[in-house]
Amino acid sequence: MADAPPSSARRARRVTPAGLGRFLARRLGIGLVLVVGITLVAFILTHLVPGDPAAANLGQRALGDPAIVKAFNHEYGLDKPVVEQYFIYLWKLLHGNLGVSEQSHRAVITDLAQYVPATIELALFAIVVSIVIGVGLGVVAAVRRGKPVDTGLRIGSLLGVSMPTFWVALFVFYLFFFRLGWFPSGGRLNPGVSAPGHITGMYTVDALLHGQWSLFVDALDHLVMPGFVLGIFTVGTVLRFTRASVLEVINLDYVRAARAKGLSEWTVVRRHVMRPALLPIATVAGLAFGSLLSGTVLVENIYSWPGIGEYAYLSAVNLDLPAIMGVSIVVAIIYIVINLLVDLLYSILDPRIELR
Amino acid sequence: MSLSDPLPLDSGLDVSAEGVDALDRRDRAALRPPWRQPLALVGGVIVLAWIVVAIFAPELAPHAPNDQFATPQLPPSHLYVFGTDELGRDVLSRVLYGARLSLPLAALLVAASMVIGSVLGSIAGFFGGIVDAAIMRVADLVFAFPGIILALAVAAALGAQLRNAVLAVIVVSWPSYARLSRGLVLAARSSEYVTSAKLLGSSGWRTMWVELRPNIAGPIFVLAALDIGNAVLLLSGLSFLGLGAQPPTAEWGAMVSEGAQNFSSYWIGLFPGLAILTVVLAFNFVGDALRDMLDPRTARMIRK
Repeated sequence: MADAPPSSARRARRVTPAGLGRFLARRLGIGLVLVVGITLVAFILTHLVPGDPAAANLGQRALGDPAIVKAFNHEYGLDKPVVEQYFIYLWKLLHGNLGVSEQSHRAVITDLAQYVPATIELALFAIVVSIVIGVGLGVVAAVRRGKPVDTGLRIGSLLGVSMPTFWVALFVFYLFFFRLGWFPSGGRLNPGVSAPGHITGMYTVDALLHGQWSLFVDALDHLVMPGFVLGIFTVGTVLRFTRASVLEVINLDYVRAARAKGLSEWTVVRRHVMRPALLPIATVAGLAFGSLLSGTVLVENIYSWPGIGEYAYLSAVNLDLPAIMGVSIVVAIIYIVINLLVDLLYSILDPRIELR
Repeated sequence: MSLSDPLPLDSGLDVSAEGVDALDRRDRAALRPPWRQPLALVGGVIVLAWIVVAIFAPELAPHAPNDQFATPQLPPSHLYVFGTDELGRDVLSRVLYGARLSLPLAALLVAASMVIGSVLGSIAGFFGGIVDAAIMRVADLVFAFPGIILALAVAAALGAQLRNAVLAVIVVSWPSYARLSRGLVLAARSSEYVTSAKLLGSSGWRTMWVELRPNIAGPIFVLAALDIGNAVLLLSGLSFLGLGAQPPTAEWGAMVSEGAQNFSSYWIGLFPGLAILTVVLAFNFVGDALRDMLDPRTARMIRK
C-alpha cells in the first residue's frame, strides 16, 4: 500500500476471528438487552393510553353484552395482571407474532414486511444522494479552507440542517409536481400499475431483477422526489464530517512530502488524502441513516410513500397500539444492526481500531 | 471514546487524533470570539430580532392572530403583506404571534432537557457503578429510536396537545446532555482540583456542585445552543403532523400544515416555514461559532 497512513504510535492490530466472535457476541448481547428494553418501554407507553381496547374493537351491540366483552378481554389476555400481559407479549413476539393492527386488521408483521422495504428503498436512495453530494463538497471545502467557497459551504450546510423537512418537502412538491409537473404526486407507482413480483420488496430493484424496464422507470420516477428531499437533509452532516476528516490528514508529514515532490494540490488530495480521510464515511453513513429514519416520517407523510414512517404516523394518530409497538421494535432493531455494521466496516477499513 | 460503547452514534473519531496539527493559518479565523465572527453576529441579531417580535407581537401585528375578517386566500399585497389564509386571517399577524409560542417553548424544552440530562449524566459519571449503568442504559434506549418516532409515540399516547408534544421532545432530547456531561465529568473526575476537594472533606454532591459544575458548564451550554434549533424543528414537525398545537393556535408547524391543504395559495405555508428556518438557522450560526471556541477534543464530543 503506497498510500498507507503514517505509522501510528499505537500497535497495529489485526481483527482476529476469535476477537471478532467475542465482539459480535458482546454487541449482539447488548443489542438484545436494548430490544427487550424497547419492548418494555413500548409496552408501558401503550398502557399509559387511556383507551379501552374492547371499546375500540367491538361494535356497539357487542359492547352492550358483558359476556362478549369478557370473552374479548379473555381472548387477548386483557383480564390478566399487567406483568403477565407483558410476558405474554414477549412470548408471542419470540414467535414472530406482533399482534393484529387495528387499522388494517392484518398481522402487524405482515404490514411491516410490506412497509419496511419501501422505506429502505427510499433511505438507500437518499443516502447515496447525500454521500455523493456531501463527500464531494466536503473535500472541496477542506481543500479551499478559509476561502469564500468554504465559508459558502459552511453557511450552506448550516442552512441544510436548519430547514424544516416538511416545509422543504412541500416546497419541492409544489414546484416539481404542482407547477412543473415533472414528477408524480406521490405513491410508489402510477395508479393501475401492479407491483413487480416480490423479491426484495424494493420496487426498483425487483423490476430490474424481473427485467421489467418500464416498471423500473415508473418506480424510479416516484422515488426521485422524496429520495432527493430526504437526502438533502443529511448532506450538511456528511459535508462537515468529510471536511473535518480531510483536514485531519491534509497537513500530515506524508502529505507534505507528496506536495513537496511537486504534485498538484488536487493530485495530492486524490492520491494521498482521500483514502484515510474517507474512512469515517462509514460512520457518517450510520449517523445519516439514523437521521434519515427520522426524516422519513415527515417525507413519507407528504409524498404518500407507503413506508414505515407513514405507518408509524398513522398508527400513532389512530392509537393502533400493536402497530406502534411493532414499528418501535423493528425500527430499533434496524438501528442497532446498522450501528453494528458500521463498527464492523470501520474496523475492516482501519485495522488500528480495536474491537471490544 | 472506544468502540465498546453499545451505540457509538456520537463516538468521537479518535483514529487520527494524533494528527491534528491541521490548525494552519487559514483556520485561525475560527478562533476569534463569536462577536467578531460575521456568521455568529448575524445569527445573534436575528435571534434578538425574533425575541423582540415575540415580546411586542401585539404591538407589531396589524391584526389579531385569530381574527377572521378578510377575504380568504388573498395573495400577498401592500394591504396584507403575507396574504390571508383559508379562513381570512392575516398570515403576517399569525407568523408574528407564532414567535410567542415557538421561542419560549424552545427555550423551556432545551432548559428542561439540559437540566435533566446533565444532572443525570453527571451523577452517572461521578458515582459510576450501577447508577452509571442504569442511567446510561436508559439513555441508550432513547438513542435506539429515531427521535421523531419516539416523540410521535409519546405524543400520541399522551394525547394530541401542545403540552404533550413538549413533554415528548424533552423525553427524546435529554440523553445527549447526559452523554456529554458524563464524558466531561469522567474526564474531570481524576483532576487534581477534584481530588483536593475530596481531601478537604467535601461530599460527593458538594464536589459536583461546587467544583465540577462550573468546569463542565461551557460545553453543555454550547450543546444547548445547538440544540435549540433541533427543538424548534422537532416541535413544529409534531405540530405539522397534528400532534402538537391544535387549531386555531398560531403555531408555525401547524400553519405550514394548513398551507399544505391549500396548495394554490402558497403563501399560507411559505411564510411560517421561513420563520422556522430563520430562527433555527440563527441559533445554529451562534451555536456553531460557540462550538469552535471549545478545544477540539471537547468540540468533537458535541456532534450534530
